[in-house]
Amino acid sequence: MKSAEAKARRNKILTQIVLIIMAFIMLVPFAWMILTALKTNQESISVNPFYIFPANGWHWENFATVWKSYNFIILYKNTLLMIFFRVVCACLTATMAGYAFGRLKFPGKKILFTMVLIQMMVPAQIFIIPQYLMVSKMGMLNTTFGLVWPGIVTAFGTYLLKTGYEGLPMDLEEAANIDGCSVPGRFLHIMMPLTKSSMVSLGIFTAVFAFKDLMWPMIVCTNASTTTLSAGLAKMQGQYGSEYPTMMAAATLAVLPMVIIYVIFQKQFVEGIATSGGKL
Amino acid sequence: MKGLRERLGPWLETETEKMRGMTARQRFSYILTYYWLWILGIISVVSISGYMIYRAAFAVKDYWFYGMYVNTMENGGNGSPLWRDFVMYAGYDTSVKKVEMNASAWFDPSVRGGTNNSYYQAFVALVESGDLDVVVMGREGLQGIGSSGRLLDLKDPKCAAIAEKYADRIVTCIPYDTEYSEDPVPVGIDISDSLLVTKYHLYEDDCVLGISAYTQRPESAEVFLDFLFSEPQEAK
Amino acid sequence: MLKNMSPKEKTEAKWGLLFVAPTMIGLIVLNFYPIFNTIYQSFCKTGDFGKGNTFVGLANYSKVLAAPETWQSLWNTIKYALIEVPFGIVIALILAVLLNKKVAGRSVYRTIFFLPMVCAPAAVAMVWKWLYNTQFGLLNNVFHTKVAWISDPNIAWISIGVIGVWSIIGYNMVLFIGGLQEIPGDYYEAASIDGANGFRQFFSITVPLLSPTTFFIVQTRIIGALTVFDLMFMVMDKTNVALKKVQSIVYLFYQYAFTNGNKGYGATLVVVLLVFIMIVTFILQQVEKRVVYHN
Repeated sequence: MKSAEAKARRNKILTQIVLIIMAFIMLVPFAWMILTALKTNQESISVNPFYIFPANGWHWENFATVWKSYNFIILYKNTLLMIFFRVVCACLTATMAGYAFGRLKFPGKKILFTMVLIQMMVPAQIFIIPQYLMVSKMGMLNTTFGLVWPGIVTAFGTYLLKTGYEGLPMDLEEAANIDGCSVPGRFLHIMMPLTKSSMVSLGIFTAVFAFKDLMWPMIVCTNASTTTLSAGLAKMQGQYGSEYPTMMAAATLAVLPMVIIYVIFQKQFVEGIATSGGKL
Repeated sequence: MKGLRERLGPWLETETEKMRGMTARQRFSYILTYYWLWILGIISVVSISGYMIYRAAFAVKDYWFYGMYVNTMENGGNGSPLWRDFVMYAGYDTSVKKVEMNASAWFDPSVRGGTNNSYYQAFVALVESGDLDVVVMGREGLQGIGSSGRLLDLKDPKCAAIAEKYADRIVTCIPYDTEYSEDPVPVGIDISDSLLVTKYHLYEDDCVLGISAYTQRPESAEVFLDFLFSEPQEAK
Repeated sequence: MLKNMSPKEKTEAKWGLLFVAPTMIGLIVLNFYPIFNTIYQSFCKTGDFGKGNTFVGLANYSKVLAAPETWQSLWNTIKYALIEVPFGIVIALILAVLLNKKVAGRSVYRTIFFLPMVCAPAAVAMVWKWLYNTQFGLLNNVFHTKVAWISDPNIAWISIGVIGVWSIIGYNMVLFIGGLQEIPGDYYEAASIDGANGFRQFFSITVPLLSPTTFFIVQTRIIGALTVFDLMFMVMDKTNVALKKVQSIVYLFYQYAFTNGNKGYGATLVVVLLVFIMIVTFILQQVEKRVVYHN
């Protein structure tokens, strides 16, 4: 029998091996993206695989070119504003609805929840024209409000939080109920704080989806001063057509803020464990 | 509702009772601690509704003209020389209605991939919502769009004036929907020698103009065409 | 029903409806009005060249249901889901479990696995197109093969499925980690003391307690995989020989509604897909009652 220590060490090494292999597979496309950003246009077009690494020096100036040709500050600002409001709205509406679907009894619950699910079952393209018309008629084109509009409610978030609330122990709530705590009271003070990890997940997903969303900002924002990162960069892809290095540099710059936001929020995840009382 | 009013009275009484013995400062911090959520909620609701009403009432929402130039590298958007000259020529007052020009669209109906679908979907959304009036593209591209039935059939009485005036420049396409017509349908007007090419250099030589099938303002298309073939004004 | 409830239940019902009101109103205004519009459109032939909708009854449906390409693309979509859902979930689960413990470099790994999620779909498509390129692609040159990854009708769907799995692992992993954190650590401690090893703990503790989250992910990923479109659109050219065996229903919808301007036919495809997904969801809900562990 192996000693407990040797076994633990063997497990740790195995884990690391698995993780490293998976990480490598995940990273290959990104490595290619960044390396292409550092090549000259000539090198990037020649699909000869031996040109994986830039041959004549690393052309960091591609990044500078991209940075200068677009007012990235405005793009970041617009994108962050949109993401912020979408996350706030989505979390608010989804947590209330998720609690109701997960823990309260009311008439029509099944039908309403089916409606929530149905929203996810249709392709997003059918929503574009009606939503565009609504925003146009409200006079909200080229505004942050218009950008946030489709993201005010989220069916996915509602379902996610419903699952989260259903996973919470019933005793806490029953105790509060017996004590005479009103519904909003026990929601606000007891149940909602316990779903922190679900809300963080929802926040991350909303932020990522809002960030990647290209269709909607493209339709709603025609002024360069109100457009978002994805739409602004897509424009560049149209303009520079086949200049891969600049496009890849732009794509890398676009991914950067999201990674930073994720790293920040991800720490919340870890801290959440410590504060929620002895969970793993 | 009645229950609410019944509870409001006693609530107000107990709160004023609690605050009797406090200074103004203590009262303020008391309210802030216990009712911050209500305060935040009310402020949000009021400010958002106010903003929405303001925009709905005062923002410029209608268009004089909405044109889209596809696959061009030049600046043809709002504020560009093309835009300014057109507004001046047509005499439109932009504080009453908007004149919108969109030169950020790159797609080719025969090719797929990349952001192609997004620009194309944006274009389709604009056309089918009735906002877009005019689209300018290369010949083949426009014929492709025309085949999908999104451009106005120039035989339609709505644009009879245009069809007549520019009868020698008509470009046709064959619709996908054979029930509508098996013969070529006139959908485009060739403008390869107009100001768009000669003065503003948005295109090299191949460009055709099509009118959206859902447009509410075919007359603005006519004004635009007249502008394109007018005598170039001296740069001011 | 309202009459039989005690005052306490009535209050709860009132609050329940109040809490779901913002979401439901938002969904109805933003999403249900377009959905009903689409259903109505499926019964019409949308006017070309500026004419309005003309009601044609079930003509679109008979055309759609009779066309072999509809069924082929439905089968393609199912095939894609068969790759993306199980592999995406199992791999993500393993990674989430590994990354939930105190592993060296945990934050770094979590960020790396999260990266595909944030990458613009267009960039992802371009990169994988290059990887799969028959002549110059990385895969063919590293393994010294000449496989036509995305133009061979027999394996193209697998290649696309692989891209799907690659993109979705980070997403599933984040959800799994969230679910794992809800499991109290004491259970694992007690099991260790009782002598249960890693695998035993995983199957007796983790799997049951994680089942609500797992079910949620399975359900949403099935719906998501069945509505896939962007992936195929961007990686495969219109001229690709293997397209017929890979295109999904939503891809078909896009072709008819957007490219060809035949919105009625496209709307019909959407309705057909919707009905199919609802049937699948219904079956899943029945399974849930038996398989998922509830508190």
